[in-house]
Amino acid sequence: MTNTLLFFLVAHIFLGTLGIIFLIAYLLSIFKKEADFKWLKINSFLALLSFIASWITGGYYYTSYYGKSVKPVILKGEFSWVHSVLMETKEHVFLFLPFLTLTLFAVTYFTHQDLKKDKKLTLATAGLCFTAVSAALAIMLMGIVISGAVGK
Amino acid sequence: MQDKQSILSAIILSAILTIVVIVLLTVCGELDAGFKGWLTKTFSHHWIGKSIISTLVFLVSVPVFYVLNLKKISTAVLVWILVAIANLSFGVLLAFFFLETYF
Repeated sequence: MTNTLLFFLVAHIFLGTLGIIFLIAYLLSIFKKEADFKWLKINSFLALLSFIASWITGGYYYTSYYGKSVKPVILKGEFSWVHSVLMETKEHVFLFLPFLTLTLFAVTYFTHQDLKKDKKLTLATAGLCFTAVSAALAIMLMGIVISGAVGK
Repeated sequence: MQDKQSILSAIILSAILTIVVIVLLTVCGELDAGFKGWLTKTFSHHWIGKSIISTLVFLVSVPVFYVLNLKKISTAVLVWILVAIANLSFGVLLAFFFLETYF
């Protein structure tokens, strides 16, 4: 693997993790008695930027290296299901994340006054954030398993 | 505020539609080799094709849903529908690839 590809892989993991951290920060903030809506907007916006950047960097690594060099190694090994089940699911579910976080940012941006008063909206927004962070964590765990399956 | 509500409803509905389209593109691509081949040939990689198509679906559907003016549905209900669709779609894709691998 070239240094450029390694950089893109590390950037993909780092940015994805950063997105998870921003979403967890959002989830912890939304239930505060005096929620700071400026920070909710900032956290949701930074999570969106992180996932878009992770999408691009991971996409470059996946389309230019993974399919040619990593996938055949996993498929020949003892844990071929790791590619055919986990990687296939991961690469497609990842596509949900930018749209989920964009919606989270939009809800926070457009409804911040109502978000303070409307408990139903607060709960629904927290549910959206929880779904996004759960999907991102599952994708991260799948990534760890995929890395572990190489050469086994 | 009414206008903001219309924009927000359009964004949430577009996100729901986009996730459904991603699932359909993925399942159709696996079941129809010709379709997956077309995605690869047109966009250099099937995954890039799915990324571009899903982004286009989102960008086109936001103004369409905005014009349709569906602000009567409450934002909280729309968000819960998005949550349900996202979780269901995750389960559908995982189950689909599991079944494709073992059966």
